[in-house]
Amino acid sequence: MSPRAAAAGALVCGVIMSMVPPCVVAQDPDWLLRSVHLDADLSAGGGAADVVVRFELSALGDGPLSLSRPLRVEVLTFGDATVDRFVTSSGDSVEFQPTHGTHSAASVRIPESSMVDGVGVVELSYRVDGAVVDEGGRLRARIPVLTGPPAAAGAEGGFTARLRLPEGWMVSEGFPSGLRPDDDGSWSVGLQVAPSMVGFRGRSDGRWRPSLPLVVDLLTVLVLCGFSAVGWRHLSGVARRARA
Amino acid sequence: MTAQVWIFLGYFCVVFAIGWYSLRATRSETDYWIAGGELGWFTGGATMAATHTSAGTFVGTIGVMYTAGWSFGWVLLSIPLSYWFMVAVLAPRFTKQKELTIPAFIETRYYGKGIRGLAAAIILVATVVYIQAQIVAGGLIANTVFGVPTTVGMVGFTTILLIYTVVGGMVAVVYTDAFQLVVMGLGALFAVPLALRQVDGLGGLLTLVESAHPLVFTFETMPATLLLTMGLSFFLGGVATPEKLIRLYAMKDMHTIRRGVLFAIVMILSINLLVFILALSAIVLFPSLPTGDLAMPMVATAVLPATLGAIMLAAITAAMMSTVDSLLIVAGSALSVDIYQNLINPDVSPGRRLWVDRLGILAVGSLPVMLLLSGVGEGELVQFIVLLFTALMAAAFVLPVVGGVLWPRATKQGAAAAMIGGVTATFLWEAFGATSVEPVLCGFLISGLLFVGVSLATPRPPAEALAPYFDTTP
Repeated sequence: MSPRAAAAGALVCGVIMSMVPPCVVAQDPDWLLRSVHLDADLSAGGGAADVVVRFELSALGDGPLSLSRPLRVEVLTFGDATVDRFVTSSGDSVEFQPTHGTHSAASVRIPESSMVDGVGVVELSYRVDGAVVDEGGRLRARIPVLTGPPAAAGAEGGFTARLRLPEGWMVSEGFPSGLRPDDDGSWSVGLQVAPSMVGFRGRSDGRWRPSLPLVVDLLTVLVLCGFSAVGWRHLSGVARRARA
Repeated sequence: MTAQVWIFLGYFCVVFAIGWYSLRATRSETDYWIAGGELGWFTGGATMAATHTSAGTFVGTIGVMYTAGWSFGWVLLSIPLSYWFMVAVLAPRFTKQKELTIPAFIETRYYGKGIRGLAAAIILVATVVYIQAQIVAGGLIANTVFGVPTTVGMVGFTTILLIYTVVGGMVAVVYTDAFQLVVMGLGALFAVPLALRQVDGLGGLLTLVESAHPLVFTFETMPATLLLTMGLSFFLGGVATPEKLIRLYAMKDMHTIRRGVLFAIVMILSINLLVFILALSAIVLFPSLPTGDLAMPMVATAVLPATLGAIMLAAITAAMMSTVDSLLIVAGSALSVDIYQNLINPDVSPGRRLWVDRLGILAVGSLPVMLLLSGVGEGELVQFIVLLFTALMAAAFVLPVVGGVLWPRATKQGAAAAMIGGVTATFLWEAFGATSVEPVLCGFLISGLLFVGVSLATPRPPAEALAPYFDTTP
């Protein structure tokens, strides 16, 4: 799905969701996430990914961004893809503490120097071990995304990600599904809200294979055409009987 | 053009084609309002399930499950209970004498044209404003998908709905509903394996969801009173709201109704189960949503491939349209049959009735868009009415209809008091009552008290009013 179609889709559902009872989720009392950008480098190979994630934070409400409370950063690990610690832009290494199951959390202070025009900019680096599994040329990659406070409703920046892959890798299926190749050889995707991971399936030998989403797309079209044909025949019969 | 636009255009083409064939299948007023009373179990059940499955299921239900976890899922079990009640208790007596509209049933059972007019007026006012809210949504959808101004989108959305509903009546509505149910079902069915694929299957999903949201499988996320009254709201909304009851008249016989309602129950439960799995997937894949209502849009745009994602959005639109077209039938019949032909001009010739019927739907469909274009009904009022609609319909009609076929002592005065009192109490609770209790509880209790109290305080109904529904032989 193209970014424009994805944005349109999210807006369509946003419109409809305004027609149904809203639900409330727990929110950090101080901050909202304006945008998240993730840069992941898998080009070194070896199954690990070096990731830099950049949060832009704004204050909840009209007041200035409060830096008195630490920022809680969370991560959910998927399969073999694990994250133990992250490093702040000032070089501090912070270790994640397990909370429930595969969920971990850590807190980090936002320095005054990170404020730009009233917006807090936080950049965290981390390494994902076991991000890529290569089984006979079939790739599966999962990169956990650090999450912070809830996204601001209608935030313009949303989530963007850029992946640098080793040469010759072919991506056949991405999560989020709009993962597309760029002119510089990297792969990128945009979304309204940050997901808990970015992932893809593909091949390391560069050969093309039909992906499950493609098969599902074709199956959907076939089933709909089949139902339309059956419905058409049935309704024609109803109309014929009524006229007779 | 994007895949999304093509999918939407294809969807509208199918809907128009159904409207055209339905015109050819409509020969009488009975065809127009209740599809000749000859619907089979598949189309009858599909139209029931599609009418039930509104945009609320695909956006609101998944949103609440995202936030509150499975406790809300248990509330949804009141839906099959309500359909079982409808088919086992209500339908056998209710369908003994088929009518064209629910107010017509009210007139037959409660022996008066005035009470029929009252029922029609409640349906008309509540439904017209509800449709108005949906038209605003339709306009904004057209704006985002096709890039046209919102007002043009509102007119376009209304025109599409009106074309197939005015032209084909109930026949068009039931067949478009069946198609829309297929679209909704396919969207949800194919979305689940793709979502599970991202989280290592069902086992992986359960492990991850408990890590991301430890309270998801507990009852600690919503007040018990809210869960119970929500369950009551779903139950009453399923039992006896006009847009569902009229489908009992549209089906061929009790055997067909039983099979059709069973099919509807299976479809509604299946779609809700799939929606629940998608909600769990959204908890894992999107843990920081600003509101749970964004869960399905995120699944549609991030998990699904292009065509299926567009179909999922079309499915949400379809869910909205299948609910609105059913309400157009109910409101149009209230205006043209129950108010115009019953109270204002009873001498309309049979040849002109179908045209009056079509004008009725055209009027109730055009009025909301005209009000909106003139700036009436925007903002809080619309949202307020949307949330109240089910509660109002349940408070007004459940007891007069259910009590009407189960309790011979129910009188015209009791039914009128129940309708007026139920609607008033629901409004008052919404305005001044506690938010942890759904307004339907207050509306239903007051309606019940008035129904029983006033019926007992007034003379027994005449035998001819009871004859169609009760065995009155000594």
